Amino acid sequence: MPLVTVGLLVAAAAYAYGFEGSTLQERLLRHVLATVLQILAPLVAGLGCVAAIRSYSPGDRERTVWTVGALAALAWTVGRVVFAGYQWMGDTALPYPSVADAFFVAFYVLIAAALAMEIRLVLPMVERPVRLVLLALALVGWAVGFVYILEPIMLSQATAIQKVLAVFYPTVAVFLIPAGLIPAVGFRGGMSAYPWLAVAAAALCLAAASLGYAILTWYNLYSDVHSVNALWVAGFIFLALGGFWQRTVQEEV
Amino acid sequence: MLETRRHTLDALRRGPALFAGLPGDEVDLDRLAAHLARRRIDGSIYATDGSLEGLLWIHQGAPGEAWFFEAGGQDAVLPVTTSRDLLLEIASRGGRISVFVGTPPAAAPPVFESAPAVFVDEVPAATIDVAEVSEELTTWTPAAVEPPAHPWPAILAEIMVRVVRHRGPRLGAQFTGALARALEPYGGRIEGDRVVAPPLAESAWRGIVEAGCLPVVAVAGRAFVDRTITAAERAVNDAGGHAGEAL
Repeated sequence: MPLVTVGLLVAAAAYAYGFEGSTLQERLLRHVLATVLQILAPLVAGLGCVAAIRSYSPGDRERTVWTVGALAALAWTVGRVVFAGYQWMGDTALPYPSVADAFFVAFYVLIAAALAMEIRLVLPMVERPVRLVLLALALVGWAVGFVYILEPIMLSQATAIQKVLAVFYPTVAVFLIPAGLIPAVGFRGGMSAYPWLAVAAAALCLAAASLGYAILTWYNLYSDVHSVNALWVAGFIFLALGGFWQRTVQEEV
Repeated sequence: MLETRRHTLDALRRGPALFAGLPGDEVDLDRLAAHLARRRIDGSIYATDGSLEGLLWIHQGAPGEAWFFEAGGQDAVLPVTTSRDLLLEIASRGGRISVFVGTPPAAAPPVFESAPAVFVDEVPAATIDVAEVSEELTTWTPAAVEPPAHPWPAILAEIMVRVVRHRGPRLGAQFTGALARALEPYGGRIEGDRVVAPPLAESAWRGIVEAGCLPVVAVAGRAFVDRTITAAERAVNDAGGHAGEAL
């Protein structure tokens, strides 16, 4: 059932972000589908986290990790509902910044907290050179993104909140990639490494989407059906896969 | 008798510990006792503040008799009704709390005819006549060593394989390290992928399993460990083989 759900999301995303559509009806359908996907994908990711939670006992530390992950996905879902509300009922084509950003910020804070908790558990199992390499890669990735994408925004006449958000989203997302990789490295050689690889892939997609979103909104090129949105959906699909996979791994001893 | 109890205590302190040297003022003793009761641990809670040492015996998770030693050598054996208060007092004076598992091979803990299921505070500490209850020492008899109900060496070897397969060799190494430390006081050891140990009581094995699994519980959780133990036992029983052996 989880795989069917994920498959449907992928198929819908391919249609919404991959095809132009020649008629007005087709274009409207794409917009509706794109909006619904942006809400459904984090919701399914949250369900994946809930599935993982159910494989633990109360008091288990990883249960807390996945619980915080589920809350993060819920925050993003609510954010996307608010975002869509602005668009469909508030007649705002691009509600940025808006109240929805509070939920998006909450998502990143929560997902970072969840990964920090997991890292605390697995850090003794990850060699110091590996940690340093991962940190260095994140710093390099962030620096490249900053110089080529964020610096023009920083030097522009954008409002302070726009600048803060433009820096915040990609920065946190970029550092989530090594954060997701550290548990995968700690568990390498075991089946539990794979769910965390999925989480790291989710962070990679979200980081790329954040950078794309920052630059597209700055140049007024963002739309609901822009292909950059496929990266958000992919990110949450990977997070969902991580959760469902973790449940399977935990229970198949 | 004093020498025997001190000897037992010293042997116990060299054995496997679930927790060692926890700051007393940060430990919720009642929750700790509830945890031990859930796990049906055989062992003891030990508290010391440098001038006073207290040892509360735990039998199948239920608190039993308590021993207290003063720095000058004075000692007393108190019923469970007062042991919680005295342990709390030691803890509140900047003491440290440890939980030891199993029975030291050199000496056996007292046998309890009817251990209470939970801590009770019916009798205030001040009303206890220490000299009177100390006479109960004479009624002690050594505990009989019950045979193990499970082929633990083989089960532990199977758990090693499963932890590595599911959580990778690094957590597997932490598991085998903790297991080796838990086996050592009993003369047991790990040889390759085999667990080798002398015949031990079921309660001792449970303590060893608990101590060995602690690093895995910390990361993967109690539910995972419980499922792994169950699955390993089933696999061993189905195979009818032995990955471990007795000395």
